[in-house]
Amino acid sequence: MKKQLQIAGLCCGLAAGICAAATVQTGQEFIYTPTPAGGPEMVWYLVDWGDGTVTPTWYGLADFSPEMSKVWNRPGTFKIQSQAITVSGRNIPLISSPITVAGSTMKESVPLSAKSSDAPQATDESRRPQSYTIHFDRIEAVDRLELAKETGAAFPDNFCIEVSTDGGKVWNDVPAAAYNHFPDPGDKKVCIPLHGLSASDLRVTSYKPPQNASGKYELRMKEPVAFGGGKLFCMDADPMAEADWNNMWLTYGSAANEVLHNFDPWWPTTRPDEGGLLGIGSTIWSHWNAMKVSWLNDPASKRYYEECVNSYPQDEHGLMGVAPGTFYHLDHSKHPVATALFVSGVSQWYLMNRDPAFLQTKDAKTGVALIEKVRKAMKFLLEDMDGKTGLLANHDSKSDGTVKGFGSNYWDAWRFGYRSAYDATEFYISLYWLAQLETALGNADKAAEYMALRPLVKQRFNEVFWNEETGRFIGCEGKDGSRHDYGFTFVNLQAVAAGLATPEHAEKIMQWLDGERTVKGDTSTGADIYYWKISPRCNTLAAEAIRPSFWDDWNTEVGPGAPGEYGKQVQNGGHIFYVSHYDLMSRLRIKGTDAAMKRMDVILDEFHKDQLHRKPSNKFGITHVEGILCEFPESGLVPLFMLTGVLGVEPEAAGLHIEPSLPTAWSYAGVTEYWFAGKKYSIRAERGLQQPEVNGTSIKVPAEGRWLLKPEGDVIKW
Amino acid sequence: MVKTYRNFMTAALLLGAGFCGAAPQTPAYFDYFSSHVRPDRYTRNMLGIVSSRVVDEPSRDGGRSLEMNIAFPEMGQLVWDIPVMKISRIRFSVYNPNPATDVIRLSPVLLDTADRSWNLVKSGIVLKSGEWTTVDLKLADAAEVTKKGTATLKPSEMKDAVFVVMFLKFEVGSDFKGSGQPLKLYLDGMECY
Repeated sequence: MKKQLQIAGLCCGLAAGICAAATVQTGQEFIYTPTPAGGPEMVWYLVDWGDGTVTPTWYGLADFSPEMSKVWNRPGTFKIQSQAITVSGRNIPLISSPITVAGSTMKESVPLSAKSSDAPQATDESRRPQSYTIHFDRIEAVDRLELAKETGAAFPDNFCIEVSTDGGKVWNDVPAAAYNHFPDPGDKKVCIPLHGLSASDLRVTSYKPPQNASGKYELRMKEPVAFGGGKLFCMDADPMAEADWNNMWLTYGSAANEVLHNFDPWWPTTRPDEGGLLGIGSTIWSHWNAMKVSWLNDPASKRYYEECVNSYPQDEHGLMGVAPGTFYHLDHSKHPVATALFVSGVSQWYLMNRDPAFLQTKDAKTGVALIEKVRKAMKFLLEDMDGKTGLLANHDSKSDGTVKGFGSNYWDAWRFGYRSAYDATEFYISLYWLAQLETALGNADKAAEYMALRPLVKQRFNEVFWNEETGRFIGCEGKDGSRHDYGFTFVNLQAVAAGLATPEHAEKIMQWLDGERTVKGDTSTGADIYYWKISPRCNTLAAEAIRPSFWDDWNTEVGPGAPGEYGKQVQNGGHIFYVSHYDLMSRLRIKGTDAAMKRMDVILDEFHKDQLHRKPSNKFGITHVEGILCEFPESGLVPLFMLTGVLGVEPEAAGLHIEPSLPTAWSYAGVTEYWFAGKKYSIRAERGLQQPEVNGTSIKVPAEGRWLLKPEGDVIKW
Repeated sequence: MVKTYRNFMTAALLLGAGFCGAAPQTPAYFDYFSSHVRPDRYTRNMLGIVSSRVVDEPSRDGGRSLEMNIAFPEMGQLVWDIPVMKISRIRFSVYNPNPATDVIRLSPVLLDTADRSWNLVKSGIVLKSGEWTTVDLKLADAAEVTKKGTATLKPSEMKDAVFVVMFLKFEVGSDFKGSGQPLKLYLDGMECY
């Protein structure tokens, strides 16, 4: 239950401190939004809760402020006092708000068992970093860290929190927990939220320790104290891998410990703080957003998604715009494929949450109910885009799939259009999702119609897009009959993952990607296809290898020495991390879980090194080489593989199906918080279990078989 | 894409009053390359800078330094992205291990949020051979402030500058003899006040 202090904040702005006090119960989560500081500089906020604790935030644009969470353990009347600190160190006191906490005193949390390092030694070197390290008895999921000043010692004005999952060999920073110009907290405890960060060790590091009375540099504070939470994904893999997997979700899934310049996980953060992101409110992301967010307990983000999907424009034929208010991607071209993504996203979202009101919400401009927009969107795909023939076609004359056409999908530097394998795959997926939705709504005939079309789509896909010479799918066939095959790994892997490829075609695709066979003429072959390690290069034939090229120079020129030269550009020899989700799902489908896990192990090893906070530039200063951070929230699909692949959890018409594919070495895997049909579940797949076990909302299923969690909470074999 | 609470924030922003205290004496921003955080998160190698890495030596006061390999005669340009902030002075040091015959000059340029370029020196600072050159510059003394498409701006037009990017440009003259193998230069952290 969340309650927001919006009234107090606004009232104070109006009446200079005359506020109506809010009331909460002890133990209840309270959401507080400080008044934005305003001004040209970035700021971070420090909130004094009035109970002897203060909580800092990361820094961001001063026109915004974050939602902060607080739970009081004792009743009383408290004064919440917040201040903003600009990145250059100016303090801006903000308005204060009284709050009444009712209820009985609750038990204090018990700190996690840990050993602390000795206090750092004073030194003459001003730039020598100094740390307090705490080592846990086992890997823990840490919810918060408490710091306190030691009497007589200066509290560091700059420090950050760093994490290790391997006993202190490799350290990574927690991006949202780094502070400069930290005010003296006096006798108050500094509570740093860490949102379930998995750690074998944590340390508080100051890179410019304060000077002590004798002029030496010395980091002194009381021993840091950590408090635990629950890990989200659990498995009996190597504990370090389990920790890294969870932290990968925390980084690229929920983005809870990332710096968010707008204090909002839906808005990309720019350099130098680019990191993970929860989602992007564009139609192009509408299905990925549903995959990432629909099962979370995140009311604000859920509200945002629901507002977003019903504000995407739709033309009279059913074509969807790419974002609220526009049909054109970056004022450049239409993306008809967004129509299919919209259908899949809304359908999956509804099937997860089961809120009939969602489908009936009216478009703010047209008054059309969402479900009607979805049906009209499918009508557009079937009729205006020829989907009912089994072969989707984009008839926008600007995007004709030739070397003169405009791009028309997410991979916007390529001239996808007319008959696009990318669009066809999304259409195939959307047929499934709408069929499930219509079934859930009692429209079996409509559902059967969509499902009946899928085999034809698959057949036509393999006939039209397969390139016998290269042994892989082409990206697109132009209206002039031209066929464009640049070794698009993202097209091929998504088609295999979706089940579109025939077994023979799927096998050939995996052989190409794994370097077991070489495609003549390709720029990248063999092991070089995985040059970036965490995902394959997006294309194995350079855009500049064929002239005129299927590449559109509208934002980047390709060719030797050009900014978009092969390997120096995210869409030309670079990579976008999300493709690994489809890579993992393809391997799971074609080669089995252990083969998929072999790939996942490489990704986890790389994540372990630097949490993939990678943003190299090319020689032109352009940092679009690797697509992991910032506007790539779909990076979160990779750790989501725990749900989509290992546990095989996905909503469908009848409920939530669970079809585990545990790696051979594991005896169980689970997710401790998964929201389905308005209820919070923990779901675990276990070897050796003969029958499902349901204990309230705690579900255990055998690791073999296919199970269905019904919206009412029963589990049956499926 | 406007969230409801964003509206609330805007209202509060318009109505709420803020008080700015005095700026502190400690650096508004610093980085001594001591952190394990990959420098490619905030630095970008451009043009002649063919690679860079963090090294323990040479460095000063217990920190580390950024070793840059620069393939002159093409200009090497290190781009340093900073969070949006008000600063009035920058300080850093560069170690030049190369012979005095190969003269290397450095020109720092800052970019503010109004797209103005602050050229801090008139002609490049010569990096002393075999030793550290400390660069300590006040923005108020900038040699020139220009905006794309405009003439040089007057000081009165430069109030409240807020900075986002720093460019460190390393250049050599036409008589430079060290072409061929990339040369090394070491940057010893950055302090902004």
